[in-house]
Amino acid sequence: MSLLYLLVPMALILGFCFLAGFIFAASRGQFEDLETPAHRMLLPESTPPSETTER
Amino acid sequence: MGAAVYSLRMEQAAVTDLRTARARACLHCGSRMSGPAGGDFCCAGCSAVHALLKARGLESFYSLRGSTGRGRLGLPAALPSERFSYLDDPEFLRDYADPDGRGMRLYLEGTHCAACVWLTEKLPEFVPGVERLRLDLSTGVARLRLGPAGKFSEAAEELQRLGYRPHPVRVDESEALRVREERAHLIRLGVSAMASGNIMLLAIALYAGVDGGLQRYFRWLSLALYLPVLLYSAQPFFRTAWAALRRRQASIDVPIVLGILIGTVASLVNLVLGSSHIYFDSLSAIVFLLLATRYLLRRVNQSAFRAARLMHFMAPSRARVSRGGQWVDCPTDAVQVGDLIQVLPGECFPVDGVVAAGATSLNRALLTGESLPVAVCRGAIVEAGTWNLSSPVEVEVRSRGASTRLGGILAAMEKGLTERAPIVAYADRVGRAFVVAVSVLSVVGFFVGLQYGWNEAVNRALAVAIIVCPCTFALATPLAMSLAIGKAARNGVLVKGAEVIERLGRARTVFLDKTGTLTEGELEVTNYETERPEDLEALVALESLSVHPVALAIRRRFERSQAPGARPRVAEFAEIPGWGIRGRVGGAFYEVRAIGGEGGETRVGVFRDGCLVGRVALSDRMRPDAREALDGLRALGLDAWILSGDSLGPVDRVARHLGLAPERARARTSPEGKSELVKSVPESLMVGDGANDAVALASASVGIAVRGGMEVSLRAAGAYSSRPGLMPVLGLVRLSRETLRVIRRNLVFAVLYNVVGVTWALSGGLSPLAAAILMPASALTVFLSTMAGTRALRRAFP
Amino acid sequence: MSDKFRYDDDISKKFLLATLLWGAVALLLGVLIATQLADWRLNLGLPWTSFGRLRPLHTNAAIFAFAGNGVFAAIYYSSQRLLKTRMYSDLLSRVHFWGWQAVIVAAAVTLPLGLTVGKEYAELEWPIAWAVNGLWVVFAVNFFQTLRVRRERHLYVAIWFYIATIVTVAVLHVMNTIQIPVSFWKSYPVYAGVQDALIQWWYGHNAVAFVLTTPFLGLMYYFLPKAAERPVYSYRLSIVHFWSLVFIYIWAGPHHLLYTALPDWAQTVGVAFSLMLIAPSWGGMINGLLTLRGAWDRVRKEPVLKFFVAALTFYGMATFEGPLLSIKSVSALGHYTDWIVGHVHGGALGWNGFMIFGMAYWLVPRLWKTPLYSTGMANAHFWIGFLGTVTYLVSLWVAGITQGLMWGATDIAGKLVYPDFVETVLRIVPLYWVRMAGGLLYFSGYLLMLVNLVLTVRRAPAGVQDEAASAPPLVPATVGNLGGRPHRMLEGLPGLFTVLTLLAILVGTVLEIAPTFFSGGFAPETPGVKPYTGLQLHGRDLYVREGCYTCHSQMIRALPAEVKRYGEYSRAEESMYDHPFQWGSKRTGPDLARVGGKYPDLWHYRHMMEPRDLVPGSIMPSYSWLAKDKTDFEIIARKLAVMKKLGVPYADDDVRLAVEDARREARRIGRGLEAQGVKPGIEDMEIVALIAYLQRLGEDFRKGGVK
Repeated sequence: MSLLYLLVPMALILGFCFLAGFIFAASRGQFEDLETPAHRMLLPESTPPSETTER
Repeated sequence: MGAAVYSLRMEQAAVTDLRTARARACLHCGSRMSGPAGGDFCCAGCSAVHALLKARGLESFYSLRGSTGRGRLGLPAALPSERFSYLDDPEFLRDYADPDGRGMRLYLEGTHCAACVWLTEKLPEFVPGVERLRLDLSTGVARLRLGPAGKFSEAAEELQRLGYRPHPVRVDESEALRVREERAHLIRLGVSAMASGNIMLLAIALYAGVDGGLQRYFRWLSLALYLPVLLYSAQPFFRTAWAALRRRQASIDVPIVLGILIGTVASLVNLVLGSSHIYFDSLSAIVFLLLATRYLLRRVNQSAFRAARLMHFMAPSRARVSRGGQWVDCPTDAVQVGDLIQVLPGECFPVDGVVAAGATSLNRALLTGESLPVAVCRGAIVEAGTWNLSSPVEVEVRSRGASTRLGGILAAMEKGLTERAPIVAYADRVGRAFVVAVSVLSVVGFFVGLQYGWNEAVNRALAVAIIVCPCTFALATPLAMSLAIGKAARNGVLVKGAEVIERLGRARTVFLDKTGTLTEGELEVTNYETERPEDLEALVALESLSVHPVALAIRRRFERSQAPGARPRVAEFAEIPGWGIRGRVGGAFYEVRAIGGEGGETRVGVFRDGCLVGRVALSDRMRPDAREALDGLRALGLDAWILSGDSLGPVDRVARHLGLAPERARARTSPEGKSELVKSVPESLMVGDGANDAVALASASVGIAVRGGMEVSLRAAGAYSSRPGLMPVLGLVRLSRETLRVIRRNLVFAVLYNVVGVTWALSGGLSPLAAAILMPASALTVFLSTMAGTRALRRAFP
Repeated sequence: MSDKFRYDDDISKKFLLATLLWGAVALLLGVLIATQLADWRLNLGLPWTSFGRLRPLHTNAAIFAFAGNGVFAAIYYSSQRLLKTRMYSDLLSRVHFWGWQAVIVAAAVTLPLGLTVGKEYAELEWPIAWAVNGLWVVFAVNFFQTLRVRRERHLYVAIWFYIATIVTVAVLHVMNTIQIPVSFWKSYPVYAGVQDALIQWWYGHNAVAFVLTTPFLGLMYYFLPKAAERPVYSYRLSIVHFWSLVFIYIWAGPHHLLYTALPDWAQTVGVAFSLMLIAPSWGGMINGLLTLRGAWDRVRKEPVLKFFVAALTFYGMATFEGPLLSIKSVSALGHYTDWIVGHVHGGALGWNGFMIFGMAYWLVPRLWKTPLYSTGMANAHFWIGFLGTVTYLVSLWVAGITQGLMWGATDIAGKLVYPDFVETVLRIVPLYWVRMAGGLLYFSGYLLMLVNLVLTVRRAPAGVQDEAASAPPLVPATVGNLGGRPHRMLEGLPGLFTVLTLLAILVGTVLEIAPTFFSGGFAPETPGVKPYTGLQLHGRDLYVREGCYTCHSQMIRALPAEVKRYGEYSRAEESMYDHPFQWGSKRTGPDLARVGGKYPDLWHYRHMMEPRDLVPGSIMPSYSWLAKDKTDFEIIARKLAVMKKLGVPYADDDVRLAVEDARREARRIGRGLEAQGVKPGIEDMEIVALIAYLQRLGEDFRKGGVK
């Protein structure tokens, strides 16, 4: 089972990668407002005024 | 195309849904319409916004709102009365704008769903100067970013026109600090989550009997994973514990730190010696779970207090000061004694002073509690907080800010509300006592265990230190309070502090103001008759020039039925404060003045060339839900009184309608009389108009303002209901009662759990890991019981 | 001010059309191999159409071609809208698209030819496998650069699921495709035996997790709210269940190896971990289903919502059934039976299939700017597909549990009630017909969709442009940055750098350290276990080529009934030189771990030519071509050299004399067969090498080399 000497660190490295992603997200304020994104993704595309006529 | 397809299809569904579901609901804000106003809108504000949206082709606002509005009632759009030029005042920007002067945070009243996000964030398309606007629905605060040529006042006016009244929010150092601190807390939580999760898996392998090289490997790996938890994530606990110890005070973090230290040292020794007693998994689990509960508590507190805290950051009221010959808008703080300011009809006097030019009638209800207009002319004293009713005047400033009479009253009141709610303080004290006891018991446990060997001693000491859950005392009680405040806020009732909830829960008697609280507060034409139709047109023409409450009622009733263009011209118009109005219309000389009324009605006579040709009766209509709310309050065991400055007639009529005994309705009481009566009764609740009954609201043990401006009311009362009607008041009292019941339930559970837990740990029957699981389990149950509250609490607001 | 730009809708169209195409291929293959199980004649006696070679093609087609393309279509369409920007580079998108389709075509050619590595869901030979790694890096670079140039600061939860998918699949696929090439179309994986089993199922389970779950959750969090026109039930819950999933997910895998030669503690970790997985999985399901609160009446009318609701329910069912199956006692009954296949297809047909169908019905009208041809057909497809899936599941649950119980049935005296394995097969063959019917129903529903969508696309207006949009560029956040400095450079690049550096260190460490670690020196020196002879090794490669592992296992579990049926349970050391390990995961046929020496060579010869001659009622296809194709003796020398490099203890002259030894052994077996009436010249045929390998299975134990 000596493969685990490689597999467990690999799994932990991946875990730390995601932890780094978490820290990066938290420090950029991604978790500040957890209500509006759910609504904002619903809004219809804000097509630039000049485009609307052409549709 | 796709967006258009689905929004059209949704439009019919949404509109019919609004119509059928809510009987007659205002097309714009969807609030239930009462009263015969007819038409599709509950107020002029809503119809203006609806027209604006239609003009800009933004009807999909309603379809969006219809599908994603999740049924929350919209607030009626405020009348676009305010001007925002003060927003561009450089001195103002120093406090309220970002360092580069192009960003500002605005609290938008009335935002609650995707449609509001969509509409507000389209601002750059309406106002070229604006680069971007990001709305945060959970707090209602929008972050506005201007383009190079943009001006804040333009953006604010446009937002106002769209129906969202903006209040600039001060970005002070504490805000940025709070944001960074909260993020640091979240990162600590993330680190402890990842570490404890993986250590747990390594621990399972160790328990399941891995041996040889891998066993040593896993043990050292769990140490490696534990280090970031110990050195980084658990830092806050060490800091608070160290600070508490330095001040020789017990804080709930002391036993936790004790447990962590014992566990770490023991584990390190065992690791080196190769024994299997390693506690990294339980220690990291404890740190993670404590950080998680603290984070949840902080978030819930945050959202609840945010509404109340925003008041504090609100901009002070504005004043128009004469600078170098012409009138300039600037914040009241910038007005100096001796300046000359101009106050237009419909505005509130920001300062105390003497009338320098012009004559008008004032509403001094805030100070005197009397809503009938008072005539003022040159040389008369005017005070801050009174409303100018009829014509513009210029005032020379005598005193401003806290030195005004109103400022004095408000300052006194504000001091009374700041200290912590007694029940929270009590829970905290009990918590501290418990902490000291546990620290001692933990050491006792160590020595008791010593006789069975070194490991057993560590086991017991650790188990005792970990099993104790201070969460109930220090965390659950404030949590219950902030949940209540949060729930009230979501239902349109802003509560100033936990102390208000507690007092509401304990209130025994309720005093209700009449005008504006039990009744709609606006005069309304009940019946009229005139000899000739042109008399009626003349009446409406005359009344359209005055802002007197009677005039407003008559215009509301008749204006819609006449085309604006067809109204006859008025000459020699004059309004005599306290008497009536007169003027020449189409050749005849008309006078309209009060002719006295009975049974609570006010009557106005229309005289053409001196002889009576018409009569109009007006009365103050009851609120539709008044009876239902009052019965609810009585059912809760409160005995109800009516206090009013009005004459006996109307007060009796209202008392009879509400089924109150005559002696419980006090008429003609002065504000001082009201506040004496309210002060005399212990645990009294005053419900009234934030502006008119400020003094009475402040002197009661707790006050709820149901009308008047948001800023003024929240300075006088403990709670402010932004939704019309009395049901929110009933809801708030029910909510407070249930919250106290939940807190008592938590305290009982806490004592039980800790006593049983500590004795079990002392007896050695409890392993540290079991303790590490039991403690957060108890915290979780307390947390869930507080979140769930009681059935009655969940249905407090109808 | 606002930038004006257009989304790249063409790439979404390409991937969507590829999904629909390969979906049909995968399902057709599924129906074919299901029928082959029910009636062996459908194998047509040809090497390219036998079950052993088509089953890997079906699994690879379903996972990487159908679900893979579907995931890419979802990622390309939704990420651009969520990030409010066009993909970073149109070229990279096209390279990724055409490269992926080329890989699929290569697989469709090589797998039927038997060019396979022999590891489930990672069967593609090393040139294709490394092409996939390369394409994945291309995709990762394109995605993370798009992240960097985004115009929406907040990364919606779906984006996080996509990030997790890209980063983790990169690590998994690279770790599991480290193979030393013997020739252009043959390679041996670096790991062996129990190690290879661990890493294969670490990859196998996480391929299911990070190709068939996380991207589909991302897909659900974008398309469900869009279709239901309502915000997700609790955005906070989706964030919580994402991070709890990702922080510790990577430990999964051992629950595929319960009661096998894997050390007991590793099995316990696998069980504990799988039970924990219910929470994040059900968090996703509940969040999705509750999003439809208040809109349930629309589920009745709209097919898209029907598909999403059914998909989420199947997801909940499959992620409950999985942890249940990973409880040791349940696994003792269910492992190697058709119940596992039922669980797999509950997830694949129900969750993955329905999510892609829902997405397709919602996306095609929007991409081609024309209403769906017929909603009625879509609803019909739903009901047919639903019925097909349920029929499939129920038939295999019944078949699986019947098989499990029959294998383990012992009478009061402790004797096996069904000692003859084929009895357990004959009992469930009727259920294979029911399963085939379920598959056929599902496939016909699928055809209905193809017709519906093709007619929709044909009616689309010509010259449809990509959807236009506008959004202000992103200004670096001023408040509350890491230490207050805006990190413009750091923003999108960390993901990219982590992926690239990760791949670099992986390849580096594994290629250097790996051989020393896995040289077999790990397990206690076991002189009793001998490496395969050249001919046996070649026979083993034939075993792998014909896909015998898709129906036979080589792992006797430590269970009383199994020890009675097959002999002493398998030890880890017995397979320490097996590159790749062939423990197998399905017993359509009996376990072969100790078949060596049980039957004479002639039995094996006649059984391979026509199984029904010796085992009446057997559903095993006949392998007549093995007696006609010549053995390639020359390559055996190179095979032994590579094995030696992988740490298998061959002496130098074993490698030097490999060819002569192999021919001598083949002649010995061949003469034995010819003496019993087999046609002369058989010694040069591949059947002889296969027989040499089959007789070798379990020999170490028989000769007492293993305790």
